[in-house]
Amino acid sequence: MAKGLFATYHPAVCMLFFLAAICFSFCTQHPVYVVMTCVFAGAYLIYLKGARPFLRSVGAFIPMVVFIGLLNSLFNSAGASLLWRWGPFSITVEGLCYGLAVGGMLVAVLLWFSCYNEVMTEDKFTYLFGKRMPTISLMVSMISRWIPRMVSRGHSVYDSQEALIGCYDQSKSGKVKRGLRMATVLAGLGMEDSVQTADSMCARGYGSTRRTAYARYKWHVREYVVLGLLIALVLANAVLLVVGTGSFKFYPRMSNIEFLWGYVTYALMLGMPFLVELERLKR
Amino acid sequence: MGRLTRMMRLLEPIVLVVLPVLMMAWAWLELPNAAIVTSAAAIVALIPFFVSFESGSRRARDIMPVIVMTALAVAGRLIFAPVPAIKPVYAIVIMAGLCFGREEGFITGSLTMLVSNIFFGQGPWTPWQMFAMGLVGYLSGALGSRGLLNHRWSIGIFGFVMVYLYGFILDTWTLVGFVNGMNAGSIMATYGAGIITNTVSAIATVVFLVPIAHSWPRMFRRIKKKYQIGPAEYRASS
Repeated sequence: MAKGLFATYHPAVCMLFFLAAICFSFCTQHPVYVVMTCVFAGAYLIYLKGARPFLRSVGAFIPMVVFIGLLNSLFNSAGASLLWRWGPFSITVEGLCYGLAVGGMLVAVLLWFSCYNEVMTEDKFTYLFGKRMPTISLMVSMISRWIPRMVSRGHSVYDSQEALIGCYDQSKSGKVKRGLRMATVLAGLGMEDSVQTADSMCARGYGSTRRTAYARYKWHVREYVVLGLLIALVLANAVLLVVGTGSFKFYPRMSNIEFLWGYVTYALMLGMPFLVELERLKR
Repeated sequence: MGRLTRMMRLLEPIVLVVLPVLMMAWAWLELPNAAIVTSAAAIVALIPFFVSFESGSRRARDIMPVIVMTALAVAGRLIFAPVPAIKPVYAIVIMAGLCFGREEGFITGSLTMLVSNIFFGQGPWTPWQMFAMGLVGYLSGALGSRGLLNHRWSIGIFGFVMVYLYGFILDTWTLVGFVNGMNAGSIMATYGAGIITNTVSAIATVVFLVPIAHSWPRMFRRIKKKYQIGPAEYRASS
């Protein structure tokens, strides 16, 4: 399995894991927690996709993270130890650390989302929500089908117009006009086409009964074990997070970092994709 | 129309007002965990729209306008690659709301952001983008049904304002969720960073909207009449 064992678990288990990972990463700016979630998310993404795609996706969201980090440190003079001052801008050690923590939090969330995109493919999403939201989930998959169709239609419309009119004025307004005409043609054509699709769906019994899914996922013992572990860890973490990190403050002076039991449960929860790999040892 | 649909339809305008106010209040009071709370609030705000769409009496052909308009909006980014400044997303969502009603407009807007993020990457911003773009479609439907968007230039001005509204909502979310200690400096930096992009897309939206302001509604009216498209309660009147 290229994507690791965890991706083969029931989609509900994966969904719960990612929901927990993303929510907890969002919830705390405690430095140790932030570093832990970054490390685990990064490690999982490297495990899923390899080092090069990992670096590429990190590079893609660096500007946003730097912007957020700067915003937090540049305009905040609440810290006690001044590093640098220039007019209205002052950078303090505490402000810089807070900016780093918020930036790190954002990095972690984005990394978890990248992992989510790898593991929770569209078919798993449809499997989970297809029964509860039949119309919307059907629409999402139909739209995904219609996009390439629109693009290829767009090319053929462009080609036929080019063949009919011969030469184009390459000015800006000419291009805009052509784009508008193409969009109009595509909208009209698409609407008329879609009615045919709808009729064909009705003829095949769409809407006559509840939707079923092409189910490939079953609840085995391993699913129940991991689900139970995850729920227990989520509850434990929620309690320990509130109790433990409440004492950490950035302003005016940063608190000392102490050992908390919350670190252990947090690492266990975030490390779940790696923990399930232990199953391989049994064989 | 079931009771659930009616209840959700009542909730829609309430949610549209409550959410931005909640966001402002959260920022004002500097309450903790703003990032997660505001994201959750956006997801909650999407619920009444999606539930009432889901439970409404729509046949297969009634959901087609949303599918076609959404696909067109997402594909537009690819089709219009030769003219990078023009992103037809806003214009198409506004047209969807204007021609097919405010609920269709909301769903078109939010599905456009959901689906285009499948290609461009999901993130914590997805719920807010879905809400803000849905709002654009909803407002155009609400104003359009009162006949306020019949004139070419009123649509143009509306589109211009909507681009800034969308940018404003997302920038405010960045500010509330990720910036601690708001002051004049950080507020100006956040809104200032987006002002050039917003202006370019606002102008592009007007350039796109004004020429199609009359032709698209006429075209869709004809198709709606020809194929009897639309939810049962709208169909009778039009």
